[in-house]
Amino acid sequence: MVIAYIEAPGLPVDPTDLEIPSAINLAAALNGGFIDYARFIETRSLESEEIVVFEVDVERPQICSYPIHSIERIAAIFAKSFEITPKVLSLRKDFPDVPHLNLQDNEFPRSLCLYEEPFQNIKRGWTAPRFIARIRDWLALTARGSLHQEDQPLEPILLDPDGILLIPSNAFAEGSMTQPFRIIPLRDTDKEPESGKVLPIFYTCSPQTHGIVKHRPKTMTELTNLLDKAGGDFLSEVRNKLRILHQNGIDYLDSNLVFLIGFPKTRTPDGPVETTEHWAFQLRVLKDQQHTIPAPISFVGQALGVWKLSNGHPGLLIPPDITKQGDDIFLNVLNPILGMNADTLAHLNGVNTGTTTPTCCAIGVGALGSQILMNIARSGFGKWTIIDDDILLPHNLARHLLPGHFIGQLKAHSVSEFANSLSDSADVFKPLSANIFTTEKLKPELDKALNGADIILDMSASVAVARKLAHLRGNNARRISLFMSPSGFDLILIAEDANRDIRLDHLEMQYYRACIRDSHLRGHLEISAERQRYGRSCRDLSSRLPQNLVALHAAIGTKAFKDVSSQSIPSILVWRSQPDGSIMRIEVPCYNSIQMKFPSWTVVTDKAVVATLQHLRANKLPNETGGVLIGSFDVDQHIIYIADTIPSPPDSEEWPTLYIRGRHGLRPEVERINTETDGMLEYIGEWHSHPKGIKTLPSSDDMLVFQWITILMNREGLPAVMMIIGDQGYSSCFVAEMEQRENLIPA
Amino acid sequence: MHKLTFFPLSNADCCLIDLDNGTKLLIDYANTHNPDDDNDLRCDLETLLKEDLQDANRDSLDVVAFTHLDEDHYKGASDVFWFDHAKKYQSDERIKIKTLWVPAAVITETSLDEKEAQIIQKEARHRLKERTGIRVFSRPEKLKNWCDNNNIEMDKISDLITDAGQIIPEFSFTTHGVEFFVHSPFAKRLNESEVEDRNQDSLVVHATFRVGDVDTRALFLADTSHENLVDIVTITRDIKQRPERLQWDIVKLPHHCSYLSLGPEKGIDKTNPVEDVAWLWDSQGQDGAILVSTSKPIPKKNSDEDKESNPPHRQAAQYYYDVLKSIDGQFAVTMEHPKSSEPRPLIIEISESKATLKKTFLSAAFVASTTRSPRAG
Repeated sequence: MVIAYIEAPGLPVDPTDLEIPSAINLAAALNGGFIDYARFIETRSLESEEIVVFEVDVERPQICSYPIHSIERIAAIFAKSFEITPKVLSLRKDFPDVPHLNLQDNEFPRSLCLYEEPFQNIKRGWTAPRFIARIRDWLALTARGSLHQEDQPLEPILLDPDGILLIPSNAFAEGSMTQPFRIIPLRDTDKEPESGKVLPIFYTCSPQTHGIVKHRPKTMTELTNLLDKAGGDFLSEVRNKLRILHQNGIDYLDSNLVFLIGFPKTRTPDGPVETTEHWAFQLRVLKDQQHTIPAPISFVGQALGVWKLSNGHPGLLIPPDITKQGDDIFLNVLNPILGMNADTLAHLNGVNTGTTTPTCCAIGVGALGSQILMNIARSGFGKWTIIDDDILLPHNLARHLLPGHFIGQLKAHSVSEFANSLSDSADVFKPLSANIFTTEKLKPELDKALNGADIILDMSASVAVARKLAHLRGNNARRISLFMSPSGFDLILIAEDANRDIRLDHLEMQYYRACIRDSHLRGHLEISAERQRYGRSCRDLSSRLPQNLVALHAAIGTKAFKDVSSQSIPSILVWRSQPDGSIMRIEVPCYNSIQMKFPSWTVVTDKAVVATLQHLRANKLPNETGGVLIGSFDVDQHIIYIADTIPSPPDSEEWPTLYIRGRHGLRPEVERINTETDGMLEYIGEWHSHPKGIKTLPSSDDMLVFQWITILMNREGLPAVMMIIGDQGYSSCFVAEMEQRENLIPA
Repeated sequence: MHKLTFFPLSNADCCLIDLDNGTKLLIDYANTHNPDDDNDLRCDLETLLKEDLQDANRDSLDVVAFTHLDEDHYKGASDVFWFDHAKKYQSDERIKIKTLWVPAAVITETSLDEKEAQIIQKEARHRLKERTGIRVFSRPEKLKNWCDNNNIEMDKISDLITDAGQIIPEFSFTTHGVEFFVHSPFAKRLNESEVEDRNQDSLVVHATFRVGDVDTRALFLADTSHENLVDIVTITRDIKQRPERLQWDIVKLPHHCSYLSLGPEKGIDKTNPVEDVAWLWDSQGQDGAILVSTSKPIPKKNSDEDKESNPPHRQAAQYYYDVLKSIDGQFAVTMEHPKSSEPRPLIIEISESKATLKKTFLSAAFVASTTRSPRAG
């Protein structure tokens, strides 16, 4: 059997000519044979992108749900900016139609959708071996048909809409509509929405197996082909409806036509229809070579041979000219969302006191953020810049502060407007519609706001944002994070001290340590609430949690934020709401952090870790002891966090001059730690103690241990970490490369 | 889900079968690892097996089968197993064997030179005399002389004997999700006084694993020669008419991929099997099947290894590759999996999707937390 491949994009280049670090890493790891079940083929380059082509072995059962081969050829495309998810293409010409492919302009080569999260959340743990592992995992799960779990909702048919079609909540009710259909663009959100009346045509196509539509129709012709493939005669339907419109009157000719199409979905080809997905397509016409504008119905009718325009008036063609199939009609994909009914909001009765205490930046005004800010506004605390680049969507209304008439508008602007309306001053709250990762053009404003702040309040509910803030240079505003646990039951506040001696990311690690050590925090990071998917994209994950929990946390959080701001000490506080309505408050102790800079990595740990290791050593003297180190790698920032240890397993060998770390019970404990922290803490290396009065220089045996760790960690593209614990004040840490000197920890 | 684990032991055999209900069976045990050689790529079977039991909180295996008494199927057994027949093989760190499976030759053979083989024979004889913890594979008459000489009444041990063509009675689809069908040893030769041929008298079983209503079939072919395979094929297919007992999804290839298990001539680039053996390979393999060669890496043409007479033989491997091409199957070599510079135990999972050759990415955390560290000073 000869397998045909598609040539990867770009032109071949030598691996040594690559310039993008992640592409270089991947090519080197493949070439060096560091990655099991993967083989290097070639490297290529295309304008600003670099491409690594390789083969992977797929773990595939005898009975496959989809015809995935035991060897697949893959191209990974890296952009210059490491903010963008590398594109992963299957180069096999007949790679099957499967769930979780990215929607693209062309069907082939197919593009694998590897990650459900934004790349910002992925990249701090991204290494070439893990990337290959993820690709192989994706293929293996797809072969088994379990990438999409049985209990998961069916895969959306189309992805990545250009905008939202807002359907009035009474659109399908008897009588007249009070509100018109509206289109909210999702691209170029700073552009004014296109105005004009929107008129929908409804159509339901024949049932489709989920995950089967894999390229996005860009023209009328493509849409017709797509719909007729499932059975039916879409064009005839449309022509009929246009003729009816024509017969009913003239008032529609300038309206923009939108198809609202129902796709009934089945799990298997002959299975029952489980859900019907609705998509809308806005018909557009070329304005110039690059741009399109909404197509008026008068144009559409002519393009489909329903009528002929003379002096702007349609003359019906009987029979219609079926040679005209709308070849010059282009489409924008819209995600139709049903608007909410009038919402009830609490009466506004607070009036601000107009004080000008600290200058603050709030990052993220989602459900929790918006409600906290409103509590703060009512109490007149601080002067604020609200940073958020999101727009308000109907499903936000379940928990967001803002009422329905703000739908389609920027949250930052709307919340500022609302907050300012409470005070006699119009500029206590200033909006900044920006994103701290991607905003290029608003960079000066963003820097100005952050630099001018005394406090940055992070309510983004994103680890990536908190880390970015922790490492952001150029301003010394105190960072405070407020967020809810994944289940929504708990609230967490992490505050740096006023001098910023202990940074947000250092405290984050101490918080995770508490999650695995403090029995009061058991299950704290578990995801128990059902995850609800909204919209149509893999990334649109929204937890289903009741507004009363958000309100409760907003109230607690507001007071805690004000209390903490008035003190200068660092804080880690957790409030756990109990089923009986009571709240348990847990204060996690904060320890001074310890930083050590190595040529390519920075190690961050704290006094508690060193004290624990010393204590374990002292207990076993005169014998040596040891264990594994628990922490986290931030590959993006080149930081190794050492947060805790698992002490010597019971089958270890402990002697005055040697130590062999055993394994009994280790695997379950490493797994427990991983689960309890939602993957934030993991195995990172090894430590052992030296006897009394002995330096913490590595012995020749220690060098072999370090070599063993190095080979071990290379599997995942990570550095080796080894600590040697000696007498009080004499402990060393070795990272990535062994040095023949003591690397004393500045304790 | 059932699981088979084949260990990288060079040209030597050991397969651990983990049944879905927790039952553990071992087919052969040959720890070829040299603890004094840091560069030895063969796994330390004793340690791996003990760790596996430790993780399962067990000190015993339900079944240990010795297919025949050649060293590459029992090496190191006397160091690791608890034997009932002598105190010196009884200490806490030894692995207990609930039931020992041996072909009759292990009981009756009189020309065992190797000490370790003699120890296993003593244990098998001891268990048979005690009538406990043993199953012997043979035609009952073959044991008659030995029983007479040892004052054992044949009918008192008949329930411990399973003949070729029978199902091993302790296992069934309902109790274990598996059936073991015995192909060999069988009574073919009429002349009972003929010298026993170990390979010909070795234990060959066909396992049918059932998960849901899906069957996955595995052949454990020990060191079977092509003559022996012809007998197995003709008896099963033609005389007994049970061809389904020769269907395969997984095969432990005979004799470390030796050409002699296919036919009498090695061939230049590919071994040509004799007709009945060709029937087994060409027509009984199921889609996506897996062939496992428990051997050194397959030699490259004209390499030093290629010139050796010992298996594995690349000509035999070439034949198996071609067989697998037509059914989109996979060929796996224990010392090449996942790569010859770093072989690791080869795991096959058996589920409702039949067999899957595992290609797990071993994270640093996984490897670190499942192995002991080297010695730190």
